[in-house]
Amino acid sequence: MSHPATPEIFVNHRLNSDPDIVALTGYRHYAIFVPKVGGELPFVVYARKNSSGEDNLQRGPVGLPQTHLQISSWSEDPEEARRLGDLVRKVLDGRPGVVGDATIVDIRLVSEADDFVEPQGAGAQLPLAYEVRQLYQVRWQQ
Amino acid sequence: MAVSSQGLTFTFGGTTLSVTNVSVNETQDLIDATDLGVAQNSRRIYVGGFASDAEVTIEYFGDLLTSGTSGALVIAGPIAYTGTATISSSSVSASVGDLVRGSATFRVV
Repeated sequence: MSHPATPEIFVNHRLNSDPDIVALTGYRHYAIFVPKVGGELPFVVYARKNSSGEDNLQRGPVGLPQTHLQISSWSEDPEEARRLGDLVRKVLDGRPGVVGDATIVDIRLVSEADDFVEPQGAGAQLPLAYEVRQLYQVRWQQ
Repeated sequence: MAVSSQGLTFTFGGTTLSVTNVSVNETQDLIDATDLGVAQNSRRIYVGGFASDAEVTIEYFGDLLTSGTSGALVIAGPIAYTGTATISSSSVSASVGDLVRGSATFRVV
């Protein structure tokens, strides 16, 4: 069975295919949210921030929509979060390709930031977590 | 009544282009026929019916159109316009993260 044509499938496949990333995350690459069970650090979470497309006058959308994907690399160790973020950039930035029916014609890093979360209240028993948050511009064949 | 631009098709030389903007401009030469008999503070008098120009400009997704190429130009949909045209100028641009975009100007005979 072929994969659905989405940039998320492409990203997940790229992350799962890199042995250095998998060695850190153990395939914990999640779309949108982290499951309550099994979502131990470190992991990678990806989600769409927005999508837009180009139209022509004849029939509207011309294909090749542009999606901004936020990809966050999380770890209890800031150095490990940084290393994971660098590995993610290495397999995605400027590395278009085809996975199943998903054709990515352009993918590039447009911004990157470090952050952290210090759990409060009910989550106070959770560890301090560090994030390397990257935003990618993806143009893909719908 | 307002009419949506959507649904317009643009064809040149039998090829339909993926246009995003179409402008049709027609001009008519007028001769200033004002003479000394014109009343004080009245408007100048112009006489038309001389040479006219028709120009069509487009923006589109796609590669460069070759200047000097002639063919049948057909606009259909919310604007209806036809004629035999020659490309008088054209350009194409590509930039990071964007689609290839072209623009062209046609002189219609």
